[in-house]
Amino acid sequence: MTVIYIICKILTCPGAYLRGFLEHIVAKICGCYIESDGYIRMDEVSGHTDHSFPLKKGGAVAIAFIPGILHFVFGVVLSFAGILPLALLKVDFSHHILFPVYIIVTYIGVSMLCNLFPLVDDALFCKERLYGKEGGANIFVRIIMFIPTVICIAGAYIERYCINILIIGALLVLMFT
Amino acid sequence: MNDIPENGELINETAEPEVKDNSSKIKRKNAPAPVETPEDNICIVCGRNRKLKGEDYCSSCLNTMRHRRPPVFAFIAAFLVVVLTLVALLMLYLNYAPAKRIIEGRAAVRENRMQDAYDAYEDAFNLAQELNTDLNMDLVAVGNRIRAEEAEPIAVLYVPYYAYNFLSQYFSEEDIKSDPQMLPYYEANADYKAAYDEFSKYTTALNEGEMETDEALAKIRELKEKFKDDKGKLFWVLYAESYVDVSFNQTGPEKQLEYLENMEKTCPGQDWYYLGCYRNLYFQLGRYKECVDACNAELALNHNESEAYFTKLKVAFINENYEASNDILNEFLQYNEKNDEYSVMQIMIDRRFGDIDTADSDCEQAMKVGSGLPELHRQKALNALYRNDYTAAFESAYNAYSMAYNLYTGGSAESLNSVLLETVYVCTMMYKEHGDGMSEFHSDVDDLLASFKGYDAIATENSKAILSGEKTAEQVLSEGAGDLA
Repeated sequence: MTVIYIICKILTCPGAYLRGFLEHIVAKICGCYIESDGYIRMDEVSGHTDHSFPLKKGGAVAIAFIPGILHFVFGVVLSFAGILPLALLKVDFSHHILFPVYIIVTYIGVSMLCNLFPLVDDALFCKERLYGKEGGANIFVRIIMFIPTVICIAGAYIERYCINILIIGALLVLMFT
Repeated sequence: MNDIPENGELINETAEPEVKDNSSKIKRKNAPAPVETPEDNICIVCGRNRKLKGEDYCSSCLNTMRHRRPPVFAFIAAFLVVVLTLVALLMLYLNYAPAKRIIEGRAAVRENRMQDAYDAYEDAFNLAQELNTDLNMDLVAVGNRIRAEEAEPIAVLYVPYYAYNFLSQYFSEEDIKSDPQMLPYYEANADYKAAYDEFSKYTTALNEGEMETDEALAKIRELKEKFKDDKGKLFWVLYAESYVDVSFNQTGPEKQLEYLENMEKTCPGQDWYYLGCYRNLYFQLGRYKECVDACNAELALNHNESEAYFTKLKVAFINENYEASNDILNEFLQYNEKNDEYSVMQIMIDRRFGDIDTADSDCEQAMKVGSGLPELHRQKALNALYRNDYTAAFESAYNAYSMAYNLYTGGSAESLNSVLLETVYVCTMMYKEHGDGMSEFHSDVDDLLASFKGYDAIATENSKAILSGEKTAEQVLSEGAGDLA
């Protein structure tokens, strides 16, 4: 499974690299120790930053959500900007400059959308900090964060087993046919 | 060899640096505190030095981890992505308008609004071109594959082989033949060309007076035998036969209808041609129920077919059915915008059912929005004729004629239609007979009437009735189909 995971991360390397970078930045801001160098490695942490767990609840939430939110925003804009002319306006090889630009933009956008979720460990730690028996968040935060946390954990598992690549691939096929 | 101690740490030589705890961090954090062994005091990162008190790491690793910075390349990459996203936003903004029109075009095709679909697709290309011209750069592009989609409304609006002519501007013959979406248009064109090559020599000879009608018809009938197994080509031979028969033998509507029914039986599936013919023939023959059925079938094929709405409206007028007239107007609005044709229909209904003031105000209102349609000016002329204001009627008819003539010279052959000519003729004659001679176009009256020399013989009964004084214009325009023709 790790091999498939690593292949997926290599296939989506721009997104994986940026995800690792964003996690690094957020982890640093949250006062975590960064345990390893490099963002695309040949292990199960590829595409992420190996860091210590943050001490504060906010840190746990930030590491789980902020890189993903940024990736979502940038990924959606880039994907739409590329897919719209390619799938809807049917721009093809005859447009020598625009076509490669749209392909690159689509690739980067899709690769970012393939790297939306944190590591399962980080997602579970976030859940633990929000809903744990000892020192969990207050009821208001628990209610507000319930659905995002569920999505985050589910997404983390989906990403671990590379199902997200299959889903996005199927969507792309649907859009272009 | 022992490592140099850092910050007073002792080097644990018995530690096994390769062994790392691969279990989840959560599990590690939440697991009950195990009984401490010497291995538990080893840094979890380097696996060699002893942990600092209260930490999982040795001071060396802790120091490294605290100060580990992202690589410069990552900052550059992130910056580039931000710049690319801004560029992508600009591209999205620029592509939005053409993309929106293409989506609208596809929706129009699905709903059989073929004129709307064609306009939307053309708009998409024009918008892209305008944007590029304004920006002085080629930043927006619409692919040629959209032209393949555009061919469908063209085939319905005009003739299937027109779609091939249209596509051949953008694709090679091989491309068209190899694409299942475009192949039917190639075949339609091939059928037309093969048949045309055969019958055109007879129709041309006929037009140039080098052949008698019967002889030409006999030759064309020989072609029917030749193409009897090829329905696509046979259709065009039958079409040529019908054209010769109607044009040179002055065949009446009854015989035309009979011919059309046989033609449909022999070569079914050419509804783009049959339905319009049925509509006109049934109307001419007074078979109004069948006429409305043909109109409805035509509208099912293309909800933008305004001639079908107008014919249905005339049938409703003949049946003295005001509610049905309004229903037709609402049906039109269901699939079309409030355009000039809608205004024309509204004016026709108002005038036909005696509300000439509303017809006038509707006409004024419509002309403020868009007076580019000769038909609107013709309706204004009829309104003036209805009120016996012959000068205004002549001027409006003159304007309609000028506009239609300009369109005609610009390539729109159907602009100078018989209904318009009838109106111009009647209005000019009435102005000459009863007008005050104060029109700004007064000097053109004689020239205009000279161009209608001999027209009195072919004028409609309604026109003759008005000109002879047998009926007033008000009577003619508020009974029957509510028009001169």
